[in-house]
This record gives sequence, structure tokens and C-alpha cells, in this order.
Amino acid sequence: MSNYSAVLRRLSLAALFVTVALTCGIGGTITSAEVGMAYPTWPNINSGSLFSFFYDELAESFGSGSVVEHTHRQAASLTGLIMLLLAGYTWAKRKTVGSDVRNLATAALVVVIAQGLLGAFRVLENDYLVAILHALGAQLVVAMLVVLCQKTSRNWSDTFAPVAANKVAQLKSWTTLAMLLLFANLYSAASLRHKQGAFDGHLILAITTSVVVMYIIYLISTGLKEHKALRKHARGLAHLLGTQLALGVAAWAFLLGPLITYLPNEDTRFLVQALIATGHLLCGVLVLAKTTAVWYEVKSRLIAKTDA
Amino acid sequence: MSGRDNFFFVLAIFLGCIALWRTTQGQFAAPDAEPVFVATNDFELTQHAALELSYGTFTEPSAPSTSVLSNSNLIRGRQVYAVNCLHCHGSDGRAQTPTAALLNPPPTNLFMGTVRDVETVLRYGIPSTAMSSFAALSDDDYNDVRDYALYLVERGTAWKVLTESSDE
Repeated sequence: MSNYSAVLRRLSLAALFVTVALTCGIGGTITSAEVGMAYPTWPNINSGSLFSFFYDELAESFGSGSVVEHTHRQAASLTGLIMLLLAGYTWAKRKTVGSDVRNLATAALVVVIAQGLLGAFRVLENDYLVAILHALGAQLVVAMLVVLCQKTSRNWSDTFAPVAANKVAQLKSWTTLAMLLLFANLYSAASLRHKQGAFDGHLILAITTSVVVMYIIYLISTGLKEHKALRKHARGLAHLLGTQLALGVAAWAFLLGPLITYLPNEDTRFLVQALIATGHLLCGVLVLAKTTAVWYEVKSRLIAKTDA
Repeated sequence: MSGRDNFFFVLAIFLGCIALWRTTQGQFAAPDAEPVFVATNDFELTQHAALELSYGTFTEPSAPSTSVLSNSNLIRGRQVYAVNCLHCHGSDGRAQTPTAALLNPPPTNLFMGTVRDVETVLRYGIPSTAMSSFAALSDDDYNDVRDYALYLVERGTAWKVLTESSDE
């Protein structure tokens, strides 16, 4: 059954955009500026509710940091709202929408709600482990939404020429490994950002993951000339990985390495560090999104040639 | 997959496991630099040197034998402080950091030497402010960072006494 529906497609894309650009972007800024505890209540703040747009008053009462935190919560609520509409739509149209999309949309909604609760515990308990899990949960939401976007795309039911069975098996193994390594790397990155994990753990994982992803790009570029969708994803992944590695080096140099003292003014240093760290995080999210697209494409649409 | 592929596949898994283990077991080393002291006159410079003789530097602290903190592990307390407190309270405890500028009420200036009860504030936080409870820290971390915060308060008080003598 084709899962294409303009409403589903638009809702999936909107959820992905809001999650990456707003929820992850602002969430990353909060960690970079270390203002996650700007106000320690959840979800409301004094007389204002989660849906109050009282930024000036908020900045005056609790400082600008609280505005960033409040905006993150509102963006996350928007993600939740879109996910609610999306899941609701798949259930309302269950005669025409496949059960796989319905189950995935429902599961993503559950993860988004769990994310909100994790965010609450992070603030109320001030626990770093919860903060790390909260960061990791966001990546899981992104991965699920990428798959949802793929499954609801117009040309998802298109078929491609079968590929040699050994190539399919090889790509399936390597892309699955890349996904596992990426999540492990995101865990180590979140630990590092919350000052709980050693830098060398993240470094080893970043190098290992990058080499594995580069190998996948090589396999697709040289061995799958007939599969245009995958080759397009591989090209995009190559660009993102290059950017991410450059940002990683910059993040190390300006946050932990020799360039910390290069910017003597504390405010400038703070701004540069926050921008680089948040950029590195966002690019990491995009690398995960693209790798998920490659992984799911390989898993679902790469058909092995039969001997007959 | 070919034999070469299998080898690198297993190697990647092995490296991933090692790195994850390092992440969970390794200690984060917070970048920590001694705050720059800017003296307004020669007298302050002399008194600052006298203060450092008794209390060491912020990053390599020591307490005089007369202090109740003389047996504390202040070096380790500084490391816990660098991870948990420095972004708001600053390297010298004066709370003049970019993050502090984003908070209202601003974080307490520990160096002023007017903190009433560090123990209670650390354990329960201050309601309706960004100062939340740090009760989730391990016992060792909690005790060390509490002692370091007390050290900053004591050092601030000593500095006040030294500089006030110039006014007399």
C-alpha cells in the first residue's frame, strides 16, 4: 500500500523541521550557554504558562537565559502538537494509511511525550544523566521522523533494479553498524557537553563513526550506480560529514584546546564557543538524519538479485 | 562480506565499545585557568601576594593551618567546582560570567564572604532561582565542592580584611 498523502507528508516534514531547527537548535544553545536551569520550575513559570508569550517580562524577571529555556519548551510543545495531529491523522485514516506508518507515528508521539517528561526531570532533579538521556532522546525522535518522511514520500513505492545479494548484505551490515556507532557517539558527545564523559571516548567514537560512514559513501558511490536515491543521499552525507569534522576540530580547538586563550575577551569567547558547539551539535543531528535515510533506504528498498 | 570487511567490521565494534567504556569511566577534565587579578594600586598587589601565600591560587588552593578547611581536599573541590559551578559563579567566585549575566537574580558572589549557609544552599538550592539542588552529586563530590565554596567565602573574607586595613 502506498502511504503517500499530502497531509501526512507535510505534517512529517513540519515535525522534522521544527524538531531539528527549533527544538534541537534551541536545546543545543541552552546547553552551550548553560542556562538550562534559568528557572527551575516545569512546565509553568510563576503566573505564566507554557503557552504564554511574555518574553520581555520573563527576561526582566528571570534573565535572558529563561527566555531561551522557555522558547525551547514551546518549540518542543509545537513538535508534540504536530506529532499529535500526525498520529491522530494516521488513526483517523487507518483504512488508507498503512499500519507501519500508523505504528511509527504513534511510537514517535510516545517518544516525544517521554522526551517532555525527561526534560521535566532534568530541570526538577538537576541530574546530568537525565540531561544526557534527554539529548539522546531528541536524536531518536529525529531518526524516527526521517523514516516517517521517507515512508510518506510520493516516490517511496518506486522500485529499483535488483543489486547483487552480497552487496546488499554488506551495505545492510555497515549501515546498521553506522547507526549504532552514531547513537553511541551522540551519547558520548552529550556526556562531554554535560561535562560527564572523557574527551577521548568521544574522539575515538567520532573517528570510528566517520571512517565507517565514509566507507558506506564509498560503497554506494562505486557499487550502486543504478540507485539514484541512495547516491543522492550519499553525496549529501559526504558534505555533511566534511562540515561536521571541520566543526569538530574547531570545537576542540576553541573549547578544550589551544585556541581557548586566543579570544581574550570573555564575552567574545563565550559567544564563539556557544556558536561552534551548537553548530557542531546541529550538524551532528543532520548527519544522523542523513545516515538514517541511507540506512532505511538500504534496509527497505535495496532488493537482492535472485539466482534464478 | 569478505574477510577484510569482516575484520574491519569487528574492529569498528571493538573501538566503539572501548570508546563507550572510556566515556562512562573517564573523568571529564574541565578547562580551568587562573583568573587574572587586576590591582588598582600597589597596596592591593602586595596584599594579593600575601593572600596567595596563605590561600594559594584559585586553581591550586590551600587553606592556612588556622582554617577549619585545612584538611579539605580543595584541589579536588576545585575540579568539581569547575564542572558544576564555574559557568555561573566564575573562576574566582565573583559571579561575573556571561552565563551569570543571563540569569536573574544573578548568582551569588561567593567572594563577598556573605554566604550564610553553603551546606543548605547546595543541598536544597534556592527556590525560584537558577540555583538548584546539588544533592544528586556523589558524597565525595558534594563534600569537596562544599569545602571549596566555603574556601572561596573564607578567602573573600580574608581579602576584605586585608584591603580594609588600607582604608584605616
